[in-house]
Amino acid sequence: MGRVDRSRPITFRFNGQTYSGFVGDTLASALLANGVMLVGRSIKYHRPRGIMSAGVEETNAIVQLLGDEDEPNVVATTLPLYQGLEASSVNGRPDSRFDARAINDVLHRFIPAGFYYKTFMWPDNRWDWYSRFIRRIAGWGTAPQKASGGRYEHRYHHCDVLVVGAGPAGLAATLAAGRAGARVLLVDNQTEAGGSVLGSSAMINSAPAMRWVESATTELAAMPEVVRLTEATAVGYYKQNFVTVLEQRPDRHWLRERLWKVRARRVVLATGAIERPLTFPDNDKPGVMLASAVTTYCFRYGVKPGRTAVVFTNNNRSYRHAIEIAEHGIHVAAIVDLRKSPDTGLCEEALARGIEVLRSSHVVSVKGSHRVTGVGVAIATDKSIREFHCDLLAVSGGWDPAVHLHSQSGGKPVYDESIASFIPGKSVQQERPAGACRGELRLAKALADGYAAGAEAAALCGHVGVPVESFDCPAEPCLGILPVWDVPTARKAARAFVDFNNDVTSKDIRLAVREGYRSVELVKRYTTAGMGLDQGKSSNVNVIGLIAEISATPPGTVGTTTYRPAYSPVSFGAMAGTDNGQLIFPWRRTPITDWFIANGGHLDETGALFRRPLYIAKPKETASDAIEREALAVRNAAGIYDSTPLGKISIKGPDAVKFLNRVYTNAWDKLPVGRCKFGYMLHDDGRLLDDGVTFRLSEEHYVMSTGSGVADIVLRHLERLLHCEWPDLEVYLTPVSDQFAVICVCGPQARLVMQQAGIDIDISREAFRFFDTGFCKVAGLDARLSRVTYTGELSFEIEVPSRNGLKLWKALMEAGADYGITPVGSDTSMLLRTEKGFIAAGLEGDGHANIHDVGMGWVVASDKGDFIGKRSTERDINAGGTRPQVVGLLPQDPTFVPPKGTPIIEPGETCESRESIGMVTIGFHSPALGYPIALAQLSDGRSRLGDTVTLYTGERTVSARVCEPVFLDPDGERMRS
Amino acid sequence: MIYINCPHCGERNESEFVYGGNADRPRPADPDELSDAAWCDYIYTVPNIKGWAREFWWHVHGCNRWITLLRDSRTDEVQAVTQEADRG
Repeated sequence: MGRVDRSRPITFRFNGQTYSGFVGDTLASALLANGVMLVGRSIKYHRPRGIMSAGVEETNAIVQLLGDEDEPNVVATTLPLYQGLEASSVNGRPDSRFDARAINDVLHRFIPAGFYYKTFMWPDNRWDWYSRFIRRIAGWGTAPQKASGGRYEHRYHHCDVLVVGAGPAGLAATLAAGRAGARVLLVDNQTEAGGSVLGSSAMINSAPAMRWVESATTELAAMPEVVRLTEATAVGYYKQNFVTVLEQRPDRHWLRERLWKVRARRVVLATGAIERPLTFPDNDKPGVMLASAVTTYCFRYGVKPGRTAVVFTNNNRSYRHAIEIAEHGIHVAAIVDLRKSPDTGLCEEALARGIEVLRSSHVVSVKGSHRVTGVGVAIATDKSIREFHCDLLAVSGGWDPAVHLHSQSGGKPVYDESIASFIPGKSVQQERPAGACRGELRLAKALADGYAAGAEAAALCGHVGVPVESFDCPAEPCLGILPVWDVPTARKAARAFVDFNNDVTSKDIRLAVREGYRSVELVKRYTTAGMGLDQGKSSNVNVIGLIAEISATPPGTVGTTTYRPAYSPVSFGAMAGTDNGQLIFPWRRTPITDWFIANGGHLDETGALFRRPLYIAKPKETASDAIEREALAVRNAAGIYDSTPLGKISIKGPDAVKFLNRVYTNAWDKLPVGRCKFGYMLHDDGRLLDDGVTFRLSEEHYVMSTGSGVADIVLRHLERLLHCEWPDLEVYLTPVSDQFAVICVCGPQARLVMQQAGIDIDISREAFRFFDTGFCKVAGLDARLSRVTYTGELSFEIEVPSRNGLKLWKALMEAGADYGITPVGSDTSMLLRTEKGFIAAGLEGDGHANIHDVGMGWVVASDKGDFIGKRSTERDINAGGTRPQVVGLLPQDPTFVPPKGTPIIEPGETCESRESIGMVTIGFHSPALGYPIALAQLSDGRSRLGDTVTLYTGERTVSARVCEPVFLDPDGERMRS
Repeated sequence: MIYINCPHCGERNESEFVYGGNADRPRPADPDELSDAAWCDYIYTVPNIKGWAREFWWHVHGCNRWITLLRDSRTDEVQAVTQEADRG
């Protein structure tokens, strides 16, 4: 019986007990087969709850997966059973049979809707304090403790037609589009195709419906342009027919989930309809189940969820379900129908099978605590109450088309009286709903509608010529629904649940409306109805109907809430895909990186995804000892530094000079070939963007160096200006940062090291001056040599193609061995530039600073015409005043090295009355000078030179003298030597 | 994720592009001529158009060209043209 494979048994554990099931079962169907109906406790009142549905709308059967697949809030009705599965209930301690917090159920009168807002917000927003206790009581599963062991990936897919749902309408749509030759993707969240007919005795073309499903899938499998995914849920519908599809368990062995990013020219929404429960007292007891779910468990899984059933309904469709349940061997004691005159044909059919039909009647009481044992039924015609023994109460409050994706696509669902629910409104994107999704619940019509939708979608993509197809099914009466949003009750204390997931009752909705909430969006937020794990799939329309009834407005006027992605929960793993760990943040390397790793380099992230050595430590050497050793080597002998991460942009064209004049603050007309100079680049609002050296290599060829972190930003800035503002300039930009390795040799012995390594040009002080650049051979390698510095020492910067970088580094290390050459890390480099007061655009220029603030107002050429940032720089507000300006600081305590970010306060201020007048941008102990130094941004700092300020560390205050931001060799004799 | 029909490459995801600002606000030819107020308006007042707007986009992960994009901010309907065509 059913579609499970009885030849393949599976053992699994639930709440510590071992059970067995079969391949093809879900966790829910296997639990039911083992007689387990009680699966958890509700979130607020801790009421016993049982399996309610057989699909994605489940609100009660929420479990925690244990073991290797540690995952919270998994829906048991959609989880295929597998060998070794281990799960537990999410609520209910010590266990779901006995739950200590069920006391909440007795106290329910004191915890109504909005209770949290009313109670825990005083005194003075103590919510933070309360929430620590509430979080422990409430909530579903527990977050996994370790990283997911599974793999996840993303995949792009482009198609003519995306069909969502492989039920009758979706299959028919796919057949039509596929036969026309369109490229189709068919996705469905079930393990097999069939949708609603998987759990029914329906007939198509005089044969069981599943036979038609099988022939359809066989035909589709043979179509090369049709792709069909199972266990794949379309979760998000975004702009321009971009749909995300979560495929679960595509491969048990190596892939846990795959997120498809689908771009479809047309979308057919065949998402079906979801049965909604009825709202009546104690409608949440274990054993109350949706009527369609009962038939699904019978037909699809071969499970009897109970022995004796009562069917409680307001529509004709449940009669078919009642008959199917009876045919499956469950005794159906009665059909309790809210309506006065159900379809006579159906009544006769039911009676013929011995099922009593009670008209104008409703369930008034549900007996049993942990499982339904019977119901009391009020019969309006003779005002009597009748009792029925049953362990199953199959309910149906009507059918809600799954309009979620239509709403996500921008459509507005509209109310349809004939089914008392919402159907898709006007399509906004290239989308068309089909079948039950647009309210067509009858099988023959849904099939025909799906087929037409598929043919239409294919035709709109240029694929025509779909053969005519007809679908023949037994006649079905219309739904004939009588919407009853809250079944009447005489019991005052009775509670009828609307949202089972969040324990919201019809009384809560009434209270919210009474307190003035009319909009469905506000009622939802105030009561939390529809905000649980199922996102209102089972409760939304019942809430809307109830608001409509209480406020005497049509449901269509109340309207729906806005459905947002995701349709069903998406794991973080699926969102991340392979963008994980190293792959989300891949390190960039220079040709020298491996050498540093092998030689004691202490690598850390230094911006632009580069990992650079902060220092290169000898065995057992501390960080500060290494930095001091490296710094002294540069000042007294020779250092070698890997400058490769600096950004490099090649600038070519007849208008290159004009261009540089417009993007830098200084004038570039007089720079001859073979020379370079420093430039400051501003945003047009006057803020400092970058600083760096630009080299003139030939008449129309320059190379600009940029900070390593802003290389991309500078390129974008320059490209935008060239293309959008000055298309008349003939200038071509090429980023060449990765093409060249740059190595810097610096220190008093640098020239000797260069000569030892072998160089084919004269590099004497007179022949190769400070700021000269030129091509030559260094250590036998073609190179460009420049005399620029960031340390203030005699420096040679050698640029070679990246492939020769390591070769050059090793040659220079060998040549410098006798001169004490020392590899230098970026922390040491920072110390050396601080001693010289060279500005770091990312520290002293912090995104707010202008060129005056960093003390570089003198590099603004006022006579060369307009440049980017000029107009703003000249505004009075940007020059002087109380703006923070870059100064040097000499802490008066020689043992105190102020860390980055240390606040500066006025002298005499105490820590209590402190008001910051500035901030330390960098501080070091200077090995060359023997005392601590710092650079800082200080309000009106230039006029405070010589004054004393106070550094505030949080623990104590230290005085510091304000000085010019240069501590060593102020005249620059060393770098020009 | 909207689709942008790059005139050089065809339809591509928005994530391949970088937004470059409104295209109907050229930088003033002579900023010195402007009052502080007029200059600040150019710098700081970013237009937020409801409806069709002309915008610059850079296809940085594609052809590396700048294009002009007509975009309806209400619907994200877009229509891209080359800068050359846009200038006429």
